[in-house]
Amino acid sequence: MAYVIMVPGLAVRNYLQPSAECLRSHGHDVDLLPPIGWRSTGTDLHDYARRIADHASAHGPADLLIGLSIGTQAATLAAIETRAVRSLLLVSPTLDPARRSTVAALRAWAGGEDHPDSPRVSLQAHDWVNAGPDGIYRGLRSAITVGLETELPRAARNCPVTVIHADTDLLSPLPFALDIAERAGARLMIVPDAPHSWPIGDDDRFAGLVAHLVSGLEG
Amino acid sequence: MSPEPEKVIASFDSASVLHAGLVAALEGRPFSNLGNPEPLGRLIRIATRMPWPILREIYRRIGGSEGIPPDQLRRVDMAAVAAAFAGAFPGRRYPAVLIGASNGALVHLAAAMQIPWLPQTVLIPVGRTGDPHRADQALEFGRRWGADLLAANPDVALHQMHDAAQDELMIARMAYFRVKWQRLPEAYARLLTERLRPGAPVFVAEDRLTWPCTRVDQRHWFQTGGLGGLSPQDHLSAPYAPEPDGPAPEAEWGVEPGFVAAIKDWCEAHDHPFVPISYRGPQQPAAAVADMFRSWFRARDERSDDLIIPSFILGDPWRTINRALVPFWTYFPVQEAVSALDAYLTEADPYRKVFVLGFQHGAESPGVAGPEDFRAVITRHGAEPVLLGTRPQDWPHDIGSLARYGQALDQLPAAGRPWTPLTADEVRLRLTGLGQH
Repeated sequence: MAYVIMVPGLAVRNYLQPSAECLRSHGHDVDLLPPIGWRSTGTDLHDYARRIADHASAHGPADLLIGLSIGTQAATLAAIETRAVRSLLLVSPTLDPARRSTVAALRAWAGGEDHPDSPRVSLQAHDWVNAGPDGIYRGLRSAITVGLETELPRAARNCPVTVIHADTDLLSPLPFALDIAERAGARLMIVPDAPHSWPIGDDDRFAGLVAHLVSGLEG
Repeated sequence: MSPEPEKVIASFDSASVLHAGLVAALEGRPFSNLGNPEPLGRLIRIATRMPWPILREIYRRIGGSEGIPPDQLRRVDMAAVAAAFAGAFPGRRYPAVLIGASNGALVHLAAAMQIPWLPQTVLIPVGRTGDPHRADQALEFGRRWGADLLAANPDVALHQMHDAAQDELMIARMAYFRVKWQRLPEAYARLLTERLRPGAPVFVAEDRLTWPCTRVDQRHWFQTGGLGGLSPQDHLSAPYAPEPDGPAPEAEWGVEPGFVAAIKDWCEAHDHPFVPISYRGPQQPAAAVADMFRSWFRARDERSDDLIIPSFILGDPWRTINRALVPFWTYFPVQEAVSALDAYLTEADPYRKVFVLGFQHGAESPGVAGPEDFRAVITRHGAEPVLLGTRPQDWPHDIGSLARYGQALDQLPAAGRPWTPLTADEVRLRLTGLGQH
């Protein structure tokens, strides 16, 4: 079984607990990290990424480093920093060039998700308390400065990369996912009937994908 | 100043709507209401509760209002139109490009490959009130005004089309000026140069369909009738039909050979493989594309026993892929398309369900196929026919179906397996099957 590190999106983590549990139930060793924006983790994406890289080096190597939403940017920077990541999986990568201003990013974020599995605001709000408005704002500002179109090809020199786009995603546009995948020589997969916050509510397909990626490493 | 491209090009045409549907698919968006905003879709759904005679007049007037005044033709800038088509696609690098004839099957294929399609033929509706059954008068109108368009745009040919059978409602209030580029427009060449990966292939949809036409001028043809329902001879035997001079590329679907040659030249000069997809008539690629989709689904253990029949401009490539529906596109709901479906189902492994999208053009035209025709064929092949978003009792004037199909598609179960876009290499390998059905 595999050692998996999961890097959640900005200031939220609880919505990923069931997915982490699902992987554990399939025998994987999973670390679900606290998100950027929380007071305990800080708001600088580069610092946050360095700590992820240190974590992978200390506990790994990680067979699979999974970044989700803004966590994709942190995971990518971490995979550049360390050789202790054997494979990188980016789910709903952010932030595309059109959303690289606070207003545009917040507008996209406030637009939310329109899918039955999308996390409830009450669930997210509990996490947001750990960040506060300032933590969310600063975390977002830091993420805006990191462009995956230039960083991901660097990470791809160290390990294979898979990019996931959820078909109903309103926050991370498909052309951006395709563009960064193409630049990095990564594999892009589109998940039908899935929201930005995938793999929420979709344990079977998530576990299947992780098993598939991990089995590829064994070869 | 030239009129804006969106005011020049018909919003109800095969090129503009298929192009818009593909843009949506490349942006990862569904394509409801033929790309119109949801409030308009809602309005259409409400309006279609009115009796057909009233609705028919509204339909005719709204459609007719799209025509540009003929005295503006000299200001139409086809280079700007090409730039609008090319500029609509997301600004990223592509592993291939499709260029050429309008074809719904190939547009679905482009969506599966996540590549752009640049149309060769577009429709400019020109305001004109006249008797739909006086083709001779339509020709004289074209002779009077077509020269203005051609003088302002030396790179295009005008194929004026006058189909009193299928476009009866519309041609009473407009002339159909179908315009074909004869050379590669600058905006298309720019997209190929800037957006195509090094060595990426250029697929060319080369529909060799021709029609007996009347030559009006060096770059101006007049076509009596259109594909579907009636033969060219049927159309040409109608009163007032002008005498044809010889075959020309069919106005809506056919491709100008000069355009294909220009693409080939560009490919050779820029080191990109030129991959012609040659066929005769828009229906021909549908079976091969359906087969390709089915193999693609099966390769990832996706279910592959639900078929959908997109119809003319009625369809949604993004939803089709994400609902695991195998598309068998039909160019129009006519008997010829039903026969092609019959032939495909005879050859294919059995399907469980077949979802029918029937484009509603509002006329009981000769050769039109009704829901019972589709049902009979589908049932005969052991599948369950399902009309999607269309009311059979109102066929062929259920205009509300244009605003209902999106919701109907949303009710179908989603695909189960994550997918990766079809690669150009996979498509090239399977292209040998195109046109052989």
